[in-house]
Amino acid sequence: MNSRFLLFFCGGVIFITLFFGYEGYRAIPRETMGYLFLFLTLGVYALAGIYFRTTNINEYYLANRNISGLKNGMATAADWISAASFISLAGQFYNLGFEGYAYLIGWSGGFCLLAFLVAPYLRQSALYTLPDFFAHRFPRPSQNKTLGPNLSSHTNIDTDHANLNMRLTAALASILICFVYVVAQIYGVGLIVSRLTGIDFTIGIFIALAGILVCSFLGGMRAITWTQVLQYLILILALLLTLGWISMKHFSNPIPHLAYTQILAKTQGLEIQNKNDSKENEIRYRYELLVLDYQKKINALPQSWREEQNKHLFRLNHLKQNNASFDLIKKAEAELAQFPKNSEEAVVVWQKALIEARQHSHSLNDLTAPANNDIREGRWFNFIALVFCLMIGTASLPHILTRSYTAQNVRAARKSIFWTLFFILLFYLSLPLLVMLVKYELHTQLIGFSFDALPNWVLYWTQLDRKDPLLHLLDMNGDNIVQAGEIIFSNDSLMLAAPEIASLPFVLSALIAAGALAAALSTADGLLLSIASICSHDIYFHLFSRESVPRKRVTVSKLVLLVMAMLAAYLASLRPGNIVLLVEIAFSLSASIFFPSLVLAVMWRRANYYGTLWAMAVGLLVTVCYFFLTYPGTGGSPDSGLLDIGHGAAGLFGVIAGFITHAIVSSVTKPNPATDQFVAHLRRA
Amino acid sequence: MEPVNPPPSTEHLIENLTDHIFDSAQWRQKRKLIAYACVTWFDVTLITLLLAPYWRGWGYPLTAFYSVILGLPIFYLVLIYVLNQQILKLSQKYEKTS
Repeated sequence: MNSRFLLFFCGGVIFITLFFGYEGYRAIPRETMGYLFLFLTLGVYALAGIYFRTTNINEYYLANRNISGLKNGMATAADWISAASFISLAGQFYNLGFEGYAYLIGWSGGFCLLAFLVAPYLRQSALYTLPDFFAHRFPRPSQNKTLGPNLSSHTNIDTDHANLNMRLTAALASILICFVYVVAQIYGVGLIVSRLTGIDFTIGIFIALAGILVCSFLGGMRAITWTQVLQYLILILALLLTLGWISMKHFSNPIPHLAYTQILAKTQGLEIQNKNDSKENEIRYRYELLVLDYQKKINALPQSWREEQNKHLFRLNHLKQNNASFDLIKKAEAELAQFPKNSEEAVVVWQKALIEARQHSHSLNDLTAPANNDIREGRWFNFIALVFCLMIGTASLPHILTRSYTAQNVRAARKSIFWTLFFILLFYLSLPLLVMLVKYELHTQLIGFSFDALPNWVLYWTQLDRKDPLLHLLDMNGDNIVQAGEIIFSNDSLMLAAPEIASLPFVLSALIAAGALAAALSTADGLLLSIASICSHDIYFHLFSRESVPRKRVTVSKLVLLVMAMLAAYLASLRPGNIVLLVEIAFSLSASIFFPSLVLAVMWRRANYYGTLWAMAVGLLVTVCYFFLTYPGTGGSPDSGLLDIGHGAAGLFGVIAGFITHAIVSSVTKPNPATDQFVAHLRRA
Repeated sequence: MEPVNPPPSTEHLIENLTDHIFDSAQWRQKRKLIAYACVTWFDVTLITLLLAPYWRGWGYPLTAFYSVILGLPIFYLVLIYVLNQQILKLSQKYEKTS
């Protein structure tokens, strides 16, 4: 797949978009367009998957280690830009304002750590998986053979060097992290497919599963690398074309980055007006009352739960006795059914509602500077902690680290990190612009208009998912006029709805959905392949069947991939929470379990087996404890956190604890000189 | 009688320790570069983030927006490019000498 083909591919995507955008979009129904984009893009990925199919173990695991820095960078960027980045980050910016930039700074800054402290050394080790690296660098002290660079040839590894305890620990940790992350991706895929085609969310998940499998199942890393290159091109074109179209519409400039100041000035002016509007203040006041009400109810538990339940029962009986309309009775029954079943469930539900109400009690958050109340409330510590946690998590995610192994050599691995960040920034630096443009559209097309004349897209998005609405529009003050405070977007809907909010041709909605699908599929593919490689190489081969031939291991890897994909799809169909939350958990876990040991593996010769095992265990324990203490969904409270640092940055404490534990345990236990030669080899990178 | 192995001087001990930590001149230089990169990365990030809330007064909102949001990720990109070039040069030297 050469550069000429990639240019031709980009040209094709642009041509199709412009064609349907200008000429054919009125003639083709929405559903047809949705199906067209879904099957066209899945078809291209499937063709790439079939074309690059392989049963060669080196090609399946590592794409034969012959991917250039530029292409590896583009593939890593697609691997990196997940459903969380593509679908949810825009919503985060909209809802959190400046605070949302923690994700942008954290996710881009982590590549410095990856470039300087981790990736080149992993490539220099020339191994297969992350657990492989841990097993070679941290052998058990009894294994006193000198471990040299030749260990990299996995076929020569003898049983002693397999270091099963360390390998298994690292393997299980990697699988846990990748699995949490992949569930979030498949959830995103389901959301997009149901959006593109209008079919049920659960069916959407299983259709998209076919798309994931067709890329990774047949060709492993070799096929995934090339499909990821294509997926990156689709997702970046989707974003840039949509942005350009909206920018052209309002500012007569197809490159919105050049119209930044104009966009900023206009949106800023509207937001200041909105902040000072008396009706907006009334909405915010109502939310403040709601916060106080929830607080009161939580403090008075379990008595308050009984009282509330009695109120619901009384209302239902009253309606029935007075022969109220069927709709009213049905509504009251539904409210009672949704009411928490006991006081423990009530804490969780009310805490969540309290946090949401508190968020809406602030004005729509400013995108250009942190709000003053953030500084006063100490939320700035949370911002900084989240930034660092995401940075460290970025440098330790197993599926991103695996990509370092596929580069041609150390030089290509270093270069690929630069290109990865370049391609990621192309996406990340455009995203805030889209949110500003959407805000501008909302202020000019929806806010201040009557509830009786809502645009079609509002009705569509409010009804798309009844269980977990993607858009809420509630007339809080009963004036029948839409205020900014009354529009509540879920994080996962803003990006997908952006073209419709801006009244663009439907082809751009389909393209954005195809871009989001590409983002979710590319990450899901990378994650599933990482899990499958670890299961077949580190667990099946090293633990159970040392004599198995490479072809059989590839078959095992494919079977594991299939099972894991099905399991993740099943869990995603249960709607485990929002995408960003799952991603935050995955980052915290990977940061706290892997980062201290990965850095010390190269930088500190004395770092040993015991230090690593203890650091992993303590890091994980501290992270999990802090998460449970501060996350309302598990009965914790955000107020219990240290310096107001929330559950999203739980991993930071795990990393600190991990480094300290590693330093202490490695210092007090015997060093292992057997690994000196291996460390010296790594340091040549 | 003089001892066969005289006790090592403090200077000798420090030298040994340094040798243990930095096992070659190239690695020492490379490690310094990596340390500089990480310290610069950490300091710039932290200082920018600590100052960000107070940038309202300095030509708000453009200064804060451009400096924090666009400036920091681009700074990371430049840092990786420049330091990677230097490290690659050192690596080549390392390969030639070893």
